[in-house]
Amino acid sequence: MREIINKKNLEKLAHLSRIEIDKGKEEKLLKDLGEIINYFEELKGVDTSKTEPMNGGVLFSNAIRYDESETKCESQNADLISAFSDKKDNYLKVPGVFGE
Amino acid sequence: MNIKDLTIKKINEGLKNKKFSASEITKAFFENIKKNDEIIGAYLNLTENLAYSQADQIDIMIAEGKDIGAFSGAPLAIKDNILINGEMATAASKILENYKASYDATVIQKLKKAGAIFLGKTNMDEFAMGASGENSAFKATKNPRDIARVSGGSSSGSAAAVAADMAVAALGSDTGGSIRMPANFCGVVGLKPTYGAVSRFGLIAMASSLDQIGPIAKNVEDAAILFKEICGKDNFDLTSINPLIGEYGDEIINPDFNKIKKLKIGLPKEYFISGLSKETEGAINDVIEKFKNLKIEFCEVSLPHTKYAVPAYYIIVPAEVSANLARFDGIRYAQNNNQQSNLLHTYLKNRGEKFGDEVKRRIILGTFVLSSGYYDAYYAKAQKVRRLIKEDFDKVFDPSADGVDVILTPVSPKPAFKIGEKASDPLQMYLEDIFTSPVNLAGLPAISIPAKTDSLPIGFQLIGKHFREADILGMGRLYENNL
Repeated sequence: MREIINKKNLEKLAHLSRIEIDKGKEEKLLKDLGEIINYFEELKGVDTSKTEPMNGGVLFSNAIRYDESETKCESQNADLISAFSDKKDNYLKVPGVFGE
Repeated sequence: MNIKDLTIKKINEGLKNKKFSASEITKAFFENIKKNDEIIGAYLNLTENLAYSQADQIDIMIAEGKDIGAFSGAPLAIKDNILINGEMATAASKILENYKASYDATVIQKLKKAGAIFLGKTNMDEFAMGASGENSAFKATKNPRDIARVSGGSSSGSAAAVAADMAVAALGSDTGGSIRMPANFCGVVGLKPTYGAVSRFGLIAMASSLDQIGPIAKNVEDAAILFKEICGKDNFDLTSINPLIGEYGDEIINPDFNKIKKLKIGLPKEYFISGLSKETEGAINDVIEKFKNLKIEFCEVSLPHTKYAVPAYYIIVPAEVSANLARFDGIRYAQNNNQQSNLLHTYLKNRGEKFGDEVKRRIILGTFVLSSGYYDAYYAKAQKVRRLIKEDFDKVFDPSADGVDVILTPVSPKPAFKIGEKASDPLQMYLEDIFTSPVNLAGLPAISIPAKTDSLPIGFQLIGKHFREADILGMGRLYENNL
């Protein structure tokens, strides 16, 4: 099996994914990812030289609507704000970007 | 009143004939839930206040002599990734443990108008990622037919609730088999509609180019009735469209069986492989025999790219997952107890601690297949293979090439497996999607219908042309009527 993901680039991917990996689970994660990516190799056997990628969807038509605020009622905003874990006035309060 | 025998149609008739009230029905279902769900684990949250107020409204209308609609009074279970205003919506994830929805999904709005009664929110694989139901952050739903076995996923609780008479029908979502697989394992009916047939506004997104909401019910007729209520174009989901020719007509609920009998069924040879268990093969062959006795025409067809569906699917899905789940930072939609010294560490900690193993695996895998050095080799390649899979179906269905109208296949190679049997091997779990994921990649409608129910349930799958739910529902009705 060709090693594509090793410990070092797993750390990089996890950081890009904004996920802190539990050190105790790292080995198993590496093994699982390795097996899954190895399984993807099956696709190499398909000739796609003349095929365009497909993004999904069944029928495509232009779908537009007016760019208007669709807030249905004030309580909808209040519900969202009340779900904030910490707030100042009506703004979500979070730790600083450049903290220690 | 025995709730085992009730269907959406019978409840509606019983209410109109004043055999029972909507509150009585609701109470009977909650009593059954309280008796059985501690063992089964189908529900994450019961919405009793909402259910009784919906029931009261129906009873008042009946008392006032007003007409109630054909759907009124149906007590439903709703998968926990579908939003009901004011109710919890966790998608079975710790990162949404405290999230209360602030609006109704479009399907919920439609069902409220139609007079549905919402009993509660059902368990699922976390963010709909799984084939067994074991990836829920809270509990694994047990199969009501054998509690040592999985209920199937990801709409595990919805299928188990219907199978154990803890709801008359349910809503699930299907990205690669998540409605059909648990329906297959629990012995109920599950319909995955055409991509675009049902609005996903208010569905917590997993893989947006594949996700569809659909019904789970005790029989095909109820699945059709529920589908008819939720389908249609919605301005809030721009992928939703009305079917090509007019609206979904009356044929969804009242099929013309003379027309249905003239449809031709294709059997794709790639779906009848060596990995198929003896009991599954036997059950599917019995179904084919029954259709043949009804003089339905069969022919063998080929979908040559079938074996590439699972690897393509498990590249495309994680790619979309890594983008869709970026919004869950443990700060929004959550009570955040993990304030770190700066924002980045807060994200890392929240997402590391509150996402389950399968979710983390898919986000990291998605980040990998989309990264610049690997994009062409994996993601772009998978999208090309996706087109080939869709073209396979197009050819088989092509009327100008004497194509078939419906395709019949197994839903999974084997019946429900034991809880824990595949939980630690993600690749084995992915392979469960072998017969269901091609349908999502091609955007087609498909239904799982019980073929064998005397021991462990085994279902068969009917796949239709785009927006031809009427064909597979009609064929399913024909089968059920002639059992």
